[in-house]
Amino acid sequence: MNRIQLEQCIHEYGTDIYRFCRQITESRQEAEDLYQDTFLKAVELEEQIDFRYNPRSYLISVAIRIWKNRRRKFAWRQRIAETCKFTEKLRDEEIPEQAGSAEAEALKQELQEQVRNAVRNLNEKYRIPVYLYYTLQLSVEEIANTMEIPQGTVKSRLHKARALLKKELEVIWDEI
Amino acid sequence: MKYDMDQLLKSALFSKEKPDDSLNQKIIRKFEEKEIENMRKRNRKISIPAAAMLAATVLAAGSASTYAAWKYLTPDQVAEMAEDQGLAAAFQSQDAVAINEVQEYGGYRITLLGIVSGRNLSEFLIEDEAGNVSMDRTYVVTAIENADGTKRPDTSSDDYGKDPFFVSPLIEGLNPAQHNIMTMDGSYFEIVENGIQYRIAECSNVEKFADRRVYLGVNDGTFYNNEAFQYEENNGSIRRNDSYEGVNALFVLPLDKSKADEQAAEAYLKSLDSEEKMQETEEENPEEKLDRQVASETSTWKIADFNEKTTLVHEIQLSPDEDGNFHFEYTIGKDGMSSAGTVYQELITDRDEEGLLKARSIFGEEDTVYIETYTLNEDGTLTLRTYQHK
Repeated sequence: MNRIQLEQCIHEYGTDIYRFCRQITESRQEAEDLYQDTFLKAVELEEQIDFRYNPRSYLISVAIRIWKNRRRKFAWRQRIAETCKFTEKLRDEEIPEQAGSAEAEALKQELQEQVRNAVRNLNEKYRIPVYLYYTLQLSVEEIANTMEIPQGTVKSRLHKARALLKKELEVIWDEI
Repeated sequence: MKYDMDQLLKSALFSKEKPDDSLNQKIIRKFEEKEIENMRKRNRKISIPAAAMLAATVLAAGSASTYAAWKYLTPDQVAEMAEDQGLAAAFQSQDAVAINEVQEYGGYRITLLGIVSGRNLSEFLIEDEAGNVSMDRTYVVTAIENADGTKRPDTSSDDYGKDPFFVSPLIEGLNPAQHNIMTMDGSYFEIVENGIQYRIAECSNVEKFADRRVYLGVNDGTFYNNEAFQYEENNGSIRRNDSYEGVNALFVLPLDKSKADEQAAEAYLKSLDSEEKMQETEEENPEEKLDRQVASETSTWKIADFNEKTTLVHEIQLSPDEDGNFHFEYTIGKDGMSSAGTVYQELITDRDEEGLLKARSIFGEEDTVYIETYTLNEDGTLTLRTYQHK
């Protein structure tokens, strides 16, 4: 990849890759490192990115590979500490604003927080397609390309993820 | 209390975050540092044509005095600063053309400084899309300044790259949106010296097109901008768009007409086409192949065709949400194959006279293939039908 291709990739896919990195790493610093490393790794691999095919899927798959390797190498302790920060950040920045009473809004935020926590606790084989589908709004076909699994498997994993989340959240919802 | 899981996931996992410009610039800087490092490691192996070296020795003094009155670095000095001695020599050779043409648009002064084309000129060669090393190249050096006299940010500054430029040869008769530095295996290198931003832009040798008018277009932004220039399909001319308020400089490159080579130009354009075709026919895995075959076979089918040639295994009626999107989730088959998703309202416009949407979903495992179709009904609901391919 040359500089022009790199700039093109960052311009077109940077935001999606960044959002994915933020979700998957759970901390801004870690996400920024992963984001940078994803592009630099893509350059280093010297694989030609076909701009007519699907560079976004390719870049996400690079991010997933780096993240999995890194996660194996580093201590889990740090991640747990960072998770708290991320939770606060999400509450401040990422929830789309909607009109409603303060009470309803608080309830909604509470629910969303529970959902995010439940997603974080999913096994990664369910969690990654969930982020790709709901955060990046990738199609099933794109997720299948990114994760190199059949489309049917993606559909099954999304289905299973929703079922697991439903079960996990049922208790909380019943209490609210 | 009952909640829609699909909606809840969407709102909970929604993100508006974007990477900072400074973070993106950091990547570009690291990339450049690595590039320079790699160049240092590999450059000494590539020989410079003896003729170019000789010409460089003979002409060096003359070139220097010619440029002495200018405030700009000469193209060979820019190449030297890029640590490319081969290209520096080429810019001092007889084949190089020194230019000093200035155009000012959108608050920037763009100066075309020089051009050189040929084989093996640079010590750093670029791989083309197919992974081949491109040796026959054109190099153009431009200087970009702020018209108000303030300095351009240094490459190490966080502000560097915040107002990017697209600099590219454009060829008369070829649509610049399709034929520009990006599609012609291009690249560039930049330095900032005394507040002036210098760029060496390079791509496949454009001299083969010298019987046409070949331009150097400079627009603001990272990519070619259709608003900045106008391309006339009927006569192939390329012009500046006078009403464009940003940067849209357009220089005519002084190419040697005797270097025009119609056959080579045609072969080059054909090679670009064949690269595109090759990439389109990359190997697929068996599942993808089957999916694609079924997609192609059923793309023109009407509802009657599905009823006749496949088996209906599932049917549900969906109502739109407040945004006009349709959400679904169901399970079919004895193994509990599940399908879930959203039919977004923008897909609904593309449908046949019976309301059958062009959008389909094809999925399955091993030898079972399901085709999910969506039909818009007169009452605004959507019927999802899943057929098993025979």
